Amino acid sequence: MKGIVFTQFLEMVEERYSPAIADRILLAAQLPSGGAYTAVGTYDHGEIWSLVCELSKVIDVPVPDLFRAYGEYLFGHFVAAYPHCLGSAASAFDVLQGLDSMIHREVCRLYPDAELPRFDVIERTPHQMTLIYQSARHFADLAEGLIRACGRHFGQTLALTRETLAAEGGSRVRFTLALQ
Amino acid sequence: MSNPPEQTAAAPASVSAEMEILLRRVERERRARKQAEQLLENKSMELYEANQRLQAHAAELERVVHERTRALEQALTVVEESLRAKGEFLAVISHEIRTPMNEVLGMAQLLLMTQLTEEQQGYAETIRSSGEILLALINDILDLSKMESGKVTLDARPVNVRAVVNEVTQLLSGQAQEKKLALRSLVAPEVPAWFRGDATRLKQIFLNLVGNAIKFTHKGSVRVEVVTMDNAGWLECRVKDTGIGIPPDRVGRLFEKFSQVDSSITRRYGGTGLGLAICKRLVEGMGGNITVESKHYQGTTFTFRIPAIPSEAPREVRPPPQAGPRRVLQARILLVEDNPVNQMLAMSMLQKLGASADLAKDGAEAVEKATAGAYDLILMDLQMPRMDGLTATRAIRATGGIRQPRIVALTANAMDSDREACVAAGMDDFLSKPFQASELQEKLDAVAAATGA
Repeated sequence: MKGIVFTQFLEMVEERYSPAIADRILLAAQLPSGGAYTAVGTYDHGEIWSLVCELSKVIDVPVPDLFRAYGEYLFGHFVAAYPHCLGSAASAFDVLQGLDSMIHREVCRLYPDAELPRFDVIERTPHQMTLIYQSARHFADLAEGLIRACGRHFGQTLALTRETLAAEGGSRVRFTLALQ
Repeated sequence: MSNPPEQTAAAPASVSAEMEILLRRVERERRARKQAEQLLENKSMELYEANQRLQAHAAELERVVHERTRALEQALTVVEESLRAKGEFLAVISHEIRTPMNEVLGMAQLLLMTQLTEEQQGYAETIRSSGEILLALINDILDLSKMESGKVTLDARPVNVRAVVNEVTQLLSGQAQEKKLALRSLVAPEVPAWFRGDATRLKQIFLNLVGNAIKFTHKGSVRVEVVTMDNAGWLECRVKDTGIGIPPDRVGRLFEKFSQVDSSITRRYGGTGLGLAICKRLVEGMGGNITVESKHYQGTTFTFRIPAIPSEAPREVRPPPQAGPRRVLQARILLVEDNPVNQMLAMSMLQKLGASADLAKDGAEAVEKATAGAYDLILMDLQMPRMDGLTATRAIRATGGIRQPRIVALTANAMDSDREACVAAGMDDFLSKPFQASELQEKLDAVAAATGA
């Protein structure tokens, strides 16, 4: 997993809670990397799980909620740091539609070793979109946070339903988004 | 979200705890920085290596391009050299063939003038006609190889295109009449009288195209049209026929060397297959282009366009082509010759030497013309119908009150007895047929010297 996911997570923890809590979860998680992350490095995805679990224990918020909150936070960072990635997209649907073909392609160009999830758009009407998240990992909650933040970025309220699909190793989740 | 209580605690123990957190944080940041630096260094190294590889690749490509270019240049030089050598060889060999060929032709002509059986006559005719085809071919090859080696320079003298077209149609009217074809020419009224160009080469182009048109037309007409185009900036010349046409798939190769519509054409129609290639080169040499449109079995139109550079009319009506024979121009010459081929040969030779002559077809006509006009030189054939050369000479010499011309016998052979008879009849000199231009030039020089012209 790319280092940016870790550095942004720790920034969020420091910002929203405190550097002391960040330090605490870093110590408690007993991370192979020692918790020294750089955005351009690559680390075991298990470490983010450990960190989120530790945070959950410390502040007593469920892990899925934390992942969703982090997803939303992460989207804000993406928009601020890589505004060009949104390109000419005029709506959340546009961004989601172009996720695999545009954004992930850019990521792969910079980081050929990046392991990215797939977002397949199954159906799209002006008011509704169905897409399937598919990953070797289990970060559907993170994805949901990102999707919600994306809607908010365009001033759109999305009613989101999730359905977990059968998957061999990893996860497949159907997101149905309805524009309110 | 509110900060946890540890943040706000102010006890010394907390301070040291906070200090520890900070130190750990700094330590993590330091390690992260080192990782990032290491990554950066690795990436830099990768980039540097990739760059080196690209540079090496580029250098290799450049080397290969250089090598290929040099090889191509070498190949090109070899090809050019061999082409030039080929062209020179062709020119030399053509010239070497032409000389004895002329002699063969001359002898065949002489042979035909002797008493022959019908069979022998047939053989001799074949020798002559085949010889002429061969000579035409050699001349064309020589012409073409000269053009290809850039040895042909085109004149830029005043040319009267109407005169050129008239001359061509007149020259070929006999051939057209034989095939009962109408040969017409139309030079549009707006075409100016004089252009700057090469009259001989223009005539050659027209002769080729019109000659071809007549050759490949069995019924109907051949038309020559000359118009101006693009505000009189171009001269467009068309030669239209109602002949057999050219199959569409053969049109493209028409202007190539040795390209005839099919090889059977050579057998049926003769020709060297070089005429159109020569036309194309000449037209292009003049800065123009030539195209052809044809409908199989309906007719063909050759069109060539050349830049029309207007010119003043020439100051002299007949500009002397050479400095030497200029004096001879003033000399009046009469050619007495019954054989049309010999007429043509002598006339064209005289023309080449910058002279011109009147023509008498037999001795009687010669006497008539010689006594009516003051000639400086008479070229007199010996054997002719109605009145032979010796009788005519005696008659001219017997006529009083005229300026006596110099009379040169055109003898078929150089037997002493013939010469004696010529001198006895009052002739001044001899010229053995077939004669060379240089020999004729000598006779012309003698006249010029004698008349002081």
